[in-house]
Amino acid sequence: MKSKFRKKNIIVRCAADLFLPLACTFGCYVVLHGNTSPGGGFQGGVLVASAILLVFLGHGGTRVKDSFSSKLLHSSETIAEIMYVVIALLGIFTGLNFCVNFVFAGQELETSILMNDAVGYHVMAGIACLLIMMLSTLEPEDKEQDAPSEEKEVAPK
Amino acid sequence: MKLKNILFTIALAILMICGVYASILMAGSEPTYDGTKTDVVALYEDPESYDNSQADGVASIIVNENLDKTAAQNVVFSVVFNFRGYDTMGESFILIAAIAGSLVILRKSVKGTKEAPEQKEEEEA
Repeated sequence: MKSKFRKKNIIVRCAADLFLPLACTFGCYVVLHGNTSPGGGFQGGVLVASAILLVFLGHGGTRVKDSFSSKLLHSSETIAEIMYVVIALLGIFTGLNFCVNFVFAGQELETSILMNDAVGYHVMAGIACLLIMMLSTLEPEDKEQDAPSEEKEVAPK
Repeated sequence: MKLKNILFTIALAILMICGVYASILMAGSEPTYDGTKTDVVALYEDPESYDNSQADGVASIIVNENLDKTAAQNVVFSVVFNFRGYDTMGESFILIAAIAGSLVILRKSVKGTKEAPEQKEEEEA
């Protein structure tokens, strides 16, 4: 941690900063327009999760740890899955089948758009959590483990 | 523990009875699709002028009654999220299982990095 942070090349940093909002916006577009265009929750979620890789390329692994929390992403993944199951089960409680369009019957809206958004959120959180965990293994800090361990013994005294 | 086991066996028995009843019903009903009116060779050779109004079973429902049953203009979307909603739910659960497994594998390397901020807090205190 001490003075180990090296700045990347300015071309890589500027390119990452340029393409980061574009990638996030395009991923959200793909998720939200899943009912009318090719794509959907899975593809758009992976596109949004690629922002982690752009931050890693431009600013290094320590910035990734500082700006994203993998615990929150891992729990929100479960929340999104529960959202999908609840929205899909609402059709059963009204006397129809699983995953059926019951609220806006005959209109241009339907409930599976909400299920699509839930799947997009779920895939985004899951792949982002996976990428954070995999990128954290690229920077082992074994060299610094010896020195702070001595300080840790001194500190409680 | 005994009450728990009894409830578990009762739940399993109810599930098995429902499954057997559903399978008996399915075996007694008529088949919805036999594939006699589907010409795969004609569809491959000239897909634009292929007449799909003669198809039977689930295929005709998906192709012809898509807009009546769902509001999705994209047929793939309606198949993934309406006609095959169970399949999508299973895919999401598979994703959860895969990520949980990789978290278990990668946990050792994270434990080493977790000690660093705690030491910093102690040094500041």
